Amino acid sequence: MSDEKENPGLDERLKDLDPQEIYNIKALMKRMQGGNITPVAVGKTLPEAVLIGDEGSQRLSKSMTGITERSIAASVEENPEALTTALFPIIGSAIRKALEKFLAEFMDSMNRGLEKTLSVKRLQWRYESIKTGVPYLEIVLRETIQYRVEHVFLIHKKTGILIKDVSIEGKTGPDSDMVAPMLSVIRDYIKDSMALKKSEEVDSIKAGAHTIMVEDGPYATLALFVRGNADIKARTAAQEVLETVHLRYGSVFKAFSGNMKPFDGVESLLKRCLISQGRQSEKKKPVYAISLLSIILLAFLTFGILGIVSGQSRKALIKSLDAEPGIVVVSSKTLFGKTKLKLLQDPRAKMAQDVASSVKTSLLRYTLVSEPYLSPLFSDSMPANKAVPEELLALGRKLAEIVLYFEQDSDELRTGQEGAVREAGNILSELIGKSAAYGFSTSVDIVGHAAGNVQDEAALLISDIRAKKAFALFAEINTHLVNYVKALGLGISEPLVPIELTEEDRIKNRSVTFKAIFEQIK
Amino acid sequence: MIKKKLCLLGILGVGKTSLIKKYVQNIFSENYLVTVGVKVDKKNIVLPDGQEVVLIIWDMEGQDDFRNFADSYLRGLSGYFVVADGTRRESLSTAKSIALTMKNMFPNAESTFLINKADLKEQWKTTEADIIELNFCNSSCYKTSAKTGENVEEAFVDIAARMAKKDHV
Repeated sequence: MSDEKENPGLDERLKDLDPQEIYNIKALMKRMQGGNITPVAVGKTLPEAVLIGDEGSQRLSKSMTGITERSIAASVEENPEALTTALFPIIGSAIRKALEKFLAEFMDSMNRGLEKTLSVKRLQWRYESIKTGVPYLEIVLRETIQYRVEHVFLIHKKTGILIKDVSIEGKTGPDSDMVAPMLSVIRDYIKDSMALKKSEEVDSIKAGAHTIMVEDGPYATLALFVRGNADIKARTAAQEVLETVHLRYGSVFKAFSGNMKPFDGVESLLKRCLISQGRQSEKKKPVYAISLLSIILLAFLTFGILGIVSGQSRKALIKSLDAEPGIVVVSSKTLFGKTKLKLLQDPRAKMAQDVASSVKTSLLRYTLVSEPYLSPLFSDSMPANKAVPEELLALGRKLAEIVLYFEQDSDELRTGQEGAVREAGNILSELIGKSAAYGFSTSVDIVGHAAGNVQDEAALLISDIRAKKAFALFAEINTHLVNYVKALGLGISEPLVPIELTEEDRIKNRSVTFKAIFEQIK
Repeated sequence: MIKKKLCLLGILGVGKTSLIKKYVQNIFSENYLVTVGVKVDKKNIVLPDGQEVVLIIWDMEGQDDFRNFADSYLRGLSGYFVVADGTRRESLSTAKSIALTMKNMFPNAESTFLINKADLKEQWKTTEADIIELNFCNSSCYKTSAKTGENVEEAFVDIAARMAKKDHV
């Protein structure tokens, strides 16, 4: 009836149609006028409409996201208890699961640490613990929880096809496209063989030095190839990355047809899993280098000290030898720790070994090359076993001070030297008398000298002539003493002035001197 | 670039591994090695239309009773070869049974029959009628030889092209 009111003449116009057609047209008109859109009608069709609307592009889900979030926020604001009560069973289960996972990994890590308890490492850790005071368990954990994620695979869960993979720089391995499906196969095989429940996943596989850590999402699997023992951080990183991957690429995964293009850019997410964690890179102390350097240093120190000691000892020996009457050290050469000493040694002088003993030096490291010579220091014939009395020596020195000079390049005595010769005679007379009282006999060498720096025959000859001339004068003036004197020409070997610089020096060396010789009366 | 999962099915000794080896590495060996479980290979190809396809080829263990196959190995495949040995008639009947099962499990997947060992045609126990009968599965069919390489490349490229056209795995 209402149709006739709103559309006068409608029934007339429809009279030619059959009853079913009339009903359909009227129902359609009612729907167009909104007559059937009642809450009951919407309630009946809404679930179906939501399902249809969310198919394909998930437009409905996306459009509902904001509303859902705001609804939850409003619910919490109004009555937090309601949501807490609703979520309580899930929260408890989720926390339990997370704790179980953490404890399982913690225990695994502990077990690995304890596995090493029979190793040398363990002893080192014990020692470190005692030394540093750090608890042993802490050291074990620090040493064992060390890892590096070297390769990350994002795998399509349903097909096992590799979506993307990233690895640390320089890491190469087998073809990732083949590894990813095989990993899925292995996991399925283990699961089937062990008859694991659907909820139980194979989330870790140990292969050599690597642990393959696997995280599953609804559409994708993330596999981390970890060198060492991964800790919870790696697992957490994997979970976070997998969640983000699903958020961003969920719809792409759902409609996955093998096309890789939509996944461009996912690598940056995967790279977040390439982490390393644990103890700082263990820097080995360069024990061998330190030892070697220490040995070298020690050797240097030893040789250095020995060298100094040896050098001082050598110097002391040379000094002592030089100081010893009748021994002259001509040269000293040290080669490979052995010292060669060239000596001039008067047969009457002390033995070099005795001198060395007196300065507490062994002659084992010395080679002595000695040449015999007659030292003027022994001209007073020091007896080996009895010292010449000082009184005699003083007279001897007084006698030695008397010098007779000669003309230049001549054997002629200068005139006016008779007094000196006479005095020499007097001293000799005194010496003869006094030396007899001491048990010594005295004689005098009238020693002729020559000027110049070459000891040749001419020098020896002129000195000899000078000595004889002086002897003649001495004998003439001191006739009674002639048996106590003899003439001796020494050339330039014992000059009065060793280095002639002036004419005066040369004059002094053209001379004759008197040398007293004492001999013990046996 | 797209990646597609392709499985090879058939009873023991029909030449699944040899076909893959010939196609991927161009190698043929008379030695017979039994595949245990599954082995995965890979082949990058460029289709005639220029599209790049990576074939992830799953070489399944030959089993006389197809029901023993783990579903997980087949999950997500885009195509499959059912391989029979032309010299063994029973391999063809098993191939038919495999094809029927697979059609039910994966109605959208591309499939091809490969009657292998075409180099031994004089020893074939399979007739043309038998091969025509295979059409009931709506699959294409190739007579292949892993030894000579006959139709091997063609069969793989054909199924790859058909798989690439589909927007599902």
